[in-house]
Formats: sequence, C-alpha cells, structure tokens
Amino acid sequence: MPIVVNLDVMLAKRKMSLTELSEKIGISIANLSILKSGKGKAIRFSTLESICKVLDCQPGDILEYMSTTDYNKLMRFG
Amino acid sequence: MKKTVFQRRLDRFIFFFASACLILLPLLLLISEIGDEQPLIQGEIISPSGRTDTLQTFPNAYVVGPGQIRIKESSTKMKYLAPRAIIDPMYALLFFISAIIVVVFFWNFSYKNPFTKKALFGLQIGCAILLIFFVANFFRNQWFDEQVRHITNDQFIYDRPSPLASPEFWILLVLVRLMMIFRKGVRLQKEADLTI
Repeated sequence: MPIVVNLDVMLAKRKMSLTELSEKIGISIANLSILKSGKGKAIRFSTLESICKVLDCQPGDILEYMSTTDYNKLMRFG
Repeated sequence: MKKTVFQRRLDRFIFFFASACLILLPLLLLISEIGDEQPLIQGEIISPSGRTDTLQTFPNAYVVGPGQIRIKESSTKMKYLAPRAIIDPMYALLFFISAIIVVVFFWNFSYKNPFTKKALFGLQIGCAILLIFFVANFFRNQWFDEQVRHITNDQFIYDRPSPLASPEFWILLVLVRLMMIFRKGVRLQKEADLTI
C-alpha cells in the first residue's frame, strides 16, 4: 500500500521515544510498532488525533502518499 | 456472565464425551457390519422388467425383500464398499473422519471470536474430504450397479440415487458457503487486528 507512515521521523524531530509516546497516548508499544513499521492496515481517527496532539503536528506529517514505483523502490532499498 | 471453573470443565467434558461418542459409535457399527459373513445389502435393487416378486435365489445371492440383497460369499471389496442396511461403511468412515476434524479443529472454537485460521483450515479440509467422498460415492454406486447386474444375471439392477439428491452434495454446498464466509471473516479479523 503506497501510504508511508513517517512516525519515526516525527518522533526524531520531537526527540521523543516510542515508549514515551505510547505512555502519553495510551496505545501499546506493540501496536505503535506495527504502525511505525507500516504493517498496519488502518488507523483510527482517534489514534491519529492523539498522535497529532502529543507530537504537535498535522496528519499529513505522519502519513504520506507515495506513487507505487517510489513505494516499491523504498521497500526494496529500505 | 462469566463462567465458573466447574461450568468450563463441564462444557469441556460434554464436548469430549460427545466427540468420543461420535468417533466410537460409527467405528463399532462399522466393525459389526463388516464382520457379517453374509452381509445384507440395502439399496434400491429393482427389476427392470417390473417383477414385483421377492425372495429370489441366485448362485451368489438372495433377493430377500424389496430393495434388499444378501450376498452369500462377499469379496473384501464388496464387504467394504457395498451400501449396507444398517450403516454404510463409507458413510461411517466419513462420519468418523468428520468427528476427528471437529475435535481437532474446533476444540477451542469460541462464538465470541469464531473467525480463526484454524477453523478456516478445518472447514477447507472438511470440504476437500466431502468432495472426495462425493466423487468416490458416485463411482462406488456405478460399480455396485455392475455387481448387482452380474450377480443376478441382469434380472435386477441397482437404481443409483441421483448425485444431486444426496445429502453430502447439499452439505458440501453449505460447507463451501461457510468456508467463503469464514475466509472473509478471517480477512476482516486480520484487518481489525491490524487497525491501530
């Protein structure tokens, strides 16, 4: 799916760890890891709202659309 | 309402007891049927010439009643494959395998979370076995018709039941539909599990 989750980028910008985010928004680290690694199938508006609130950002900062070719390249070369 | 330990154990015991009965009963009936020296074979044994008199004797068999034939010296193939009066060995085998599938794949089945990969796999195996049985039963009936004709010197035939009228055909359709529902259910469950 060519939707990339840039949660790690935002976490780095805010100098926040995944554990800290997990504690602040009340979602388990396991679920946040699924989201961060791009294995998640969907994200609830409530989750997105909590993440945006804590990280002080917009949904577009976390989610990004990429063309299939670019996405495949990214997946291939990490 | 939360179940107590005793209720859970009782549920397990009832399930185990029912499964054991389902497995053992056809096995015992099968052994008793196969052990019969002159098996009574039940089927739609009819006369193409329209003869209604029964109790006829042939070198290898007696026609003992409407639709019934008793084989004097039955071969192993006849013992295991011919349709019987009390319980058909092939149906007993199917029943036996089905009971094992139910025990193995639906032991931890929960109505709260029914769409599991294990249940789907059980249904897929059940469908495959039933399909094999359906095809085998068709050829078995054809073979038995030839045997009846041969034994009775073409005076009687086995009026083969239509494959579409057989219960296994309808059960197979239900299972296939159920399998499709479960396949979709498992996919949706996976999506729900991966929704953060």
